[in-house]
Amino acid sequence: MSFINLALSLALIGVAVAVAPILDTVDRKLRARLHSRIGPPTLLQTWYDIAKLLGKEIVVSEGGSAVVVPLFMTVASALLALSALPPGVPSPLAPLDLLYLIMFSAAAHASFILVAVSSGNVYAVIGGFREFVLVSVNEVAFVLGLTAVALSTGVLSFSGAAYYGDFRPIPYIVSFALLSICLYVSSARIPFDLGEAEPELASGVLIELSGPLLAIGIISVLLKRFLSASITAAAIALPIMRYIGAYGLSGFSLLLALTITVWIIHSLIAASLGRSRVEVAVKTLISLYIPLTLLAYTLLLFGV
Amino acid sequence: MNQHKDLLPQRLRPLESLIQEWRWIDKGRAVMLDVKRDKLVEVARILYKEIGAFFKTCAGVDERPLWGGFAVYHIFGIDEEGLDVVIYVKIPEKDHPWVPSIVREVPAADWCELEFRDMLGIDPRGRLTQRLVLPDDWPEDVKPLRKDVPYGYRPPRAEESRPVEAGMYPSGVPVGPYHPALHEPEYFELYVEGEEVVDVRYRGFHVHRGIEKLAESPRFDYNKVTFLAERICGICGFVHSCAYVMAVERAGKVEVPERAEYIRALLLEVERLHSHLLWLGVAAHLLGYDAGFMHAWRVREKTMILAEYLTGSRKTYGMNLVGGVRKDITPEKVPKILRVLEEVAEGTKKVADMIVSVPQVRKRLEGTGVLRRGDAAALSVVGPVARASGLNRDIRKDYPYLAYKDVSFMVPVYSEGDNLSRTLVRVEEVFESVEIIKQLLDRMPPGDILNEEWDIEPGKYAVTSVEAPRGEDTHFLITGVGRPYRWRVRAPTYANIPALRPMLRGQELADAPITIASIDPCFSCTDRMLVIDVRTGKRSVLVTRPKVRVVSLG
Amino acid sequence: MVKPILKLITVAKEVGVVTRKYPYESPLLTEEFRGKIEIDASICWGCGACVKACPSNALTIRESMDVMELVYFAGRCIFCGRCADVCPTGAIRVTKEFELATDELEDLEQVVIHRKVKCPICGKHFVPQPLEKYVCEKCAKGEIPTYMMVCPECRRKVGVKKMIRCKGG
Repeated sequence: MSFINLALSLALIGVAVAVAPILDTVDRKLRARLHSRIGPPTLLQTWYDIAKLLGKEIVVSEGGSAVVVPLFMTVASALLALSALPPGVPSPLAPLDLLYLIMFSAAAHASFILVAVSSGNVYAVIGGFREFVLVSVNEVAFVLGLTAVALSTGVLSFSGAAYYGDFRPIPYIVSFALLSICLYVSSARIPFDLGEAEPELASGVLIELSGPLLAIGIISVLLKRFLSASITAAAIALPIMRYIGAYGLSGFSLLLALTITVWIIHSLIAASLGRSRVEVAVKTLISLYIPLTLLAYTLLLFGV
Repeated sequence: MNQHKDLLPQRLRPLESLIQEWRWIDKGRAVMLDVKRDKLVEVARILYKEIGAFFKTCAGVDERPLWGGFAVYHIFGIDEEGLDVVIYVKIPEKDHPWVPSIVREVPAADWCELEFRDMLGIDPRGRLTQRLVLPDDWPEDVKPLRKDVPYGYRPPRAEESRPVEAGMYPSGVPVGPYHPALHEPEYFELYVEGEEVVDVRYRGFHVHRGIEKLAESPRFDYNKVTFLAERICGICGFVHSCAYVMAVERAGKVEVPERAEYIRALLLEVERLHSHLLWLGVAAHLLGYDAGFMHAWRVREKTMILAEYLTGSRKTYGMNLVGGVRKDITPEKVPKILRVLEEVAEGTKKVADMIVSVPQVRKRLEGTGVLRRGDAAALSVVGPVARASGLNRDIRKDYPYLAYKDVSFMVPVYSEGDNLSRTLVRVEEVFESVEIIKQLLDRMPPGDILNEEWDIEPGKYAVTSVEAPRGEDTHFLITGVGRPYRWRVRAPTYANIPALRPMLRGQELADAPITIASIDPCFSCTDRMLVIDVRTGKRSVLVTRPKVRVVSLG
Repeated sequence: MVKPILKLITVAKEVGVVTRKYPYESPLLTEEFRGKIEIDASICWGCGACVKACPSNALTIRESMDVMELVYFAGRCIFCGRCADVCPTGAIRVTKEFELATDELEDLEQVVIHRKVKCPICGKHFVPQPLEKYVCEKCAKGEIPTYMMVCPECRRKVGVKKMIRCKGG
């Protein structure tokens, strides 16, 4: 059993790396269609872009060589966080998998900010600072939202939640709303791509990266997006699995299908909105998070 | 102008005792006042503050080949009368010429005074001076616009670069000077505290091309300068070529067929459509709303194809000559023009509606980059920037030229002075332009389009103002033999950039790009920003690129 | 949040896709478009009217001993078509060609070579042959002045001599 679990965890990591750039092309294609453009010619376009970047020489700006470590840390943390996800089989980590997920997704965000700060470019520092403000608000809500989702299924474990405990639909809906907003924000899409903000900050966090380093930077951004989409997908998948009994491989496929759907919904939202300003974004988010959190925990506490 | 031809216009009466002589120039559209140097400041003050004239520009001229000295022309406009007032100051010194500075009375004269100081060595006395136009390594004793400097002169290359002193703040970390989102080198230093902009310094003229000097060179003649003029700007090229040919035509009393004037006005409006839609798209892009960007440019593409259909060039280039235009608008073309206009009007309506419905876009346009009416008037700002700050200024109405006297249209004016007002002014102008083009097509008289029989007398003056999409474009011309003796161009952005300082102070850094863009600064030329964090107190000065280490992957 | 999404989808649906796969599909050009010019060497006289009218020095004249070359350099051309306006023979045609990018500078150049007429007196070469031919044709038949084929300098000298002879004789 733990072998299947390990296999599925590894499979999800492999799929994430392979599919995230393809989903990014889907994103670009969809955006192009909404812009009345043709868009990239093939679904592999982002892969081609990454391959091209990987073929260039490595250029490191002086005082910016420290970016390499946090860059790889971002990728590694995002992948580790993903490994806690596959539902359908109780994780050997359960009931610690929730903690594990929170820890590594936070690590992914933190090291991404570290990329910005260590690159020594003022634009990147401003981008990193914005990212920091946003992430600090968002991570708190993320932890609360994730926990609330797990609690509304009766067990403080994410992968195990499909099996045990009793499912409480009303708190579940509220806490899912909270969680899905957090996850949209952490996917760093418009209106919350404040750290990048290309026309304002000339490319923010990633500004000092080029060639293979930029390729890794792009992969790390895409993996973070994949992580956000698949946590959302996992949260949707939980009750479904419980009712239709999709375990094992079928649960895995359900998770993937939902991840793709969530990704597309995310792209649709991002294509239709403009970029927010950091203080406005934070205010808006706080005014959404506080009532949703209060509501979710009140419902949980009073056993609705 | 209903004044008696021999009398000084009513509004200028208070100046009568201060001026030496006066005369009508430019076919009776402007008055030239000869003023002695010691009376200049007083005359400027009365004109600007008491009579309420707007300052347009000033021009220094090397008139040594004519009478042995230099001269400065200060050009004002009285909007209500549609009257330009040119103050002519003679400077007898051959070496070290000077004039009193009027900048204390007329803040808008700041840049052009520095410009004649750089270009002609005429010293504006009584003010702080620094180099504005010339690069730092340009030799001190070469004043490029003087007639004895050959037009092809190239100074020796500077051996080493000097750091630029970084403004009035003691500390900062400079970044830049690159900004890939908007193109062309201008350079804004934004002093920030956290994310709040506390001050702004502008450093520009990196791409000064010496066009005014080139036009005086033997390489050019009256007709060829037209093609040079349209290359001043990549967006409002036709505005510049129109302003130039109109100046030559008025100064040289060249008859222009009425049909040509209609065609010119029509193309000016096509250009406005194009420019405003381009701006709308870029504004959306700056606010992160790329869907708005793409759709605005989709509509704009129709206007570019229309421009190509009417002129042969997507950018309305190559249409004007002194005496008329080169390509007629034949009756077969009219239905297609009308169809495109319908599409543009409908498309703009939908796209603009879509853009302002996005909450983030609205939130970031409303109340940001505010320019109060008082500041706007003091700086003599022009175009949509002035109209969004409650100043009802539109050259098409105030100084009717070409066929604008024959069409009716509205001038949208807003009083808020924020980025949203500037956006709305431009969107509304798109619809007005569509209506203007329809009226022009409807009323276009038959006849010739080009008069090639002309002869231009030297030593005549003209001041022309054309309402470019981004504001008033003023050209001042003194005719010479075979080509202009002096041709002075003041593009609208020149008047609007100083207004960015009051607009940006106290802004969020995030809103700085859209605010800078909101004046539609000859658009490609928006910003190079320098961000200096006042709090961190770290400093390392300037523009040397960080050294890079290249590791080859083999 | 829903409103802008719906508005965008409506607009995008109405409009469809407007871009083209450009290098593989034809560009959007109207019939009025002005691209680079082509000079028909067989009609050109080498009069230089186009060079005089050209605002951007894209057309220049290169002279050597016995040859005059009219050089069109598309790299400097602003595609105004003034040359075609002023060409007396209609040798210059404005085409719609604009895809001029190249890595060979010579690809941007068109050269029309005219041999020059040799002066029978001093042996120096002067006007391009077709221009001389045109002038001859313009003159009434059989009345080609004696000194027409002579270079301007010799013509002046001979003329002065003749005048002196007239006066003296």
